[in-house]
Amino acid sequence: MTLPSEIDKLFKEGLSDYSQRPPGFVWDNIEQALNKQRFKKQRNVMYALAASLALLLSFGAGYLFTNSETDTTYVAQVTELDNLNKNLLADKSSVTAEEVKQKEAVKNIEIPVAIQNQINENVTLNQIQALDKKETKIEKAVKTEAKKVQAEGILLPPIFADQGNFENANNSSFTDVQVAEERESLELIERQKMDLAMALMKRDLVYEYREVPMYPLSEGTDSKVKDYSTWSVGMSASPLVSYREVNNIQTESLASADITSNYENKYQNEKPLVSYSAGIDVNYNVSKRFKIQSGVYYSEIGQISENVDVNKSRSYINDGDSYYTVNTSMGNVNIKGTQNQIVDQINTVDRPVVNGGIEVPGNYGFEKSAAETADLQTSFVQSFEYYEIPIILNYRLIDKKLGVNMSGGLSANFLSGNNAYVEGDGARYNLDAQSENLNSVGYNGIVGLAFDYPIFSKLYFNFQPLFKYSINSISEENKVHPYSFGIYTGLRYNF
Amino acid sequence: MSDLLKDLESLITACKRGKPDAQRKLYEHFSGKMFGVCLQYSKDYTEAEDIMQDGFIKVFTKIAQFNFNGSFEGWVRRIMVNCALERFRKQNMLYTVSDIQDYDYKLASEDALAEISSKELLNLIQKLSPQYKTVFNLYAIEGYSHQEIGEMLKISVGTSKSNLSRARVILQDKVKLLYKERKKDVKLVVK
Repeated sequence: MTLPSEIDKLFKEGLSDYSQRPPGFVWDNIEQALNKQRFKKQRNVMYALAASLALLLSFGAGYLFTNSETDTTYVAQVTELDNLNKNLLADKSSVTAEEVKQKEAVKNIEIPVAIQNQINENVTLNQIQALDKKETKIEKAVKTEAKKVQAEGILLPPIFADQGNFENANNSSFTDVQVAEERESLELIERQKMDLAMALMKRDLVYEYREVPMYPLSEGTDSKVKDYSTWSVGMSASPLVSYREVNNIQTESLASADITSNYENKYQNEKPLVSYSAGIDVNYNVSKRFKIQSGVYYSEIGQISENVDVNKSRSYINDGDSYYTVNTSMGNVNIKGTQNQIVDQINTVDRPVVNGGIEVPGNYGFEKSAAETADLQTSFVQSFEYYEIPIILNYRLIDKKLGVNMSGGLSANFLSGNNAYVEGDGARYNLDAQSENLNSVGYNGIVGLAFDYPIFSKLYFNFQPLFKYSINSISEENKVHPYSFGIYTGLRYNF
Repeated sequence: MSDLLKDLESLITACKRGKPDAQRKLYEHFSGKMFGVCLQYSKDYTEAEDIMQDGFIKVFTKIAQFNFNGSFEGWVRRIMVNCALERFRKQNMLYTVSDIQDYDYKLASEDALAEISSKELLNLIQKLSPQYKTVFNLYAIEGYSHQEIGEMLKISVGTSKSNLSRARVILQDKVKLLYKERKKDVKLVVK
């Protein structure tokens, strides 16, 4: 009998059913580690929620603050105007001299700049330019015609009509005939009438704006102004440069990898990935300055691990679910198949191939002889595909033809693809591989700028550079936060 | 399918969903045997406990990848062995033996072998140097070839062979000593 096989047999059989109860603290440690992982998962979700809430609150507060300032001045003005109008109604009999005085007062009420801007927004650009040119004439016309116009009751109808007093106003002490006669005597030329019409239009816009909150003031209901809000839809795409910030790497995930990319040098062999992002967006103008932007975007982010050594080695898990692992800062990449499947396939054919039978150019470095004797050096690309649903608030900084907006917001990202491939000579060779322990939902903080420029009347060209930073870690194990930068370019149609 | 297997399958399924109770039960079911495996690859209890801990955390974090093809126990065992190897490689304990000797052995009394307990065998293995121990375990117990062991431990086939031979000689000597202590007549012939 030969001893080597006997010795082997002795130990193999002697130890095959050997069992020994481990000390209790081993399970305690395992349980603790598992609980820690669960806690981390929950904590990340909580952090993301808290951050979302904080961001929304700060934007919300900013919005309310900006609006409440305008409202205070505006309400004071409107109240004054309202009182004057009421006085006018109450004192119809002495309309002649006093009315003129009071209406002069109404005319002199200064409209807040913010309101004027809002009014201007509702008038098209051409109308504003036309009005500006004719400003001097209009002023003259308004001055000369003010009394007549006021006497005609044109100034008051929006208020009076709704209160059911319009007829009363017309039945005041000075009659239509008198007014008409006075008017004829001035012999206005056609052009002056046109100018006046423009002035009236401008003034009516002011009134239209004023009268909306006036009723709520008297009736005590909602004072929100909704008339000028508009919707728009658009589509945009961008090249996307993505990378990651490494805060903490769990050593256990490192130890569990068969191949480590370059941990000792803080993963210095890792490089940003250039991919793309595209999507459709829906915009809602809350006010003149604020616009809410949402939609659905597809984004691919990831990173490249360059010169990763793949040792020609057999996986220790050799059955149907065998895999080997490459460790990167974003976690371990589990590649199905044996560790040297790429290399093995190279050995079977003349031309080198990688996993899946895809040909690899000969100069890529996958030489048959080299593969048999040395490690493979290859670039692994981890690709993570997400569907992003953002909520971005755009604040209009410059309100010219070329609009400039400041953008900030959040997005919820839903992981839809988790792939890895080998890259070389501009070609990619897909692997049956996944990065492990990725969070299926992520949250991005978004900051950037948004530019828009009208091409046609309602069609705008959009240009939006955005920086996105992942609030939560991409991986359940490590604290690694991906970020990306893209310049979204596209078109938007305003309804 | 037996009830035991069904129970195991439902336990695995529950563990895939991360149920703490199922994880504990699964651990209890396999802990004895797996601790035996860990002890085989370690020099003492402390090391075995560390391997066991890393191994089971890996089992629970990777259990989603187990697709019920093949034996679950085999899968868990391979993870334990894998963890032991990772530890071995991390510590970089590379003892090389340059001389390759072709030893041939003979035992006079086969019956005597049966009288050595598993515990004693384990103690003998544990006393081997890390590389001898690992090579012997992988070759004799797990059934890997020298080519495969060379790849796993990043050593040459020759080194793997010589390590195995040395391990066998040492174990043989120790087995012989054990018998001597028991005043058994064990004859060893080395060609």
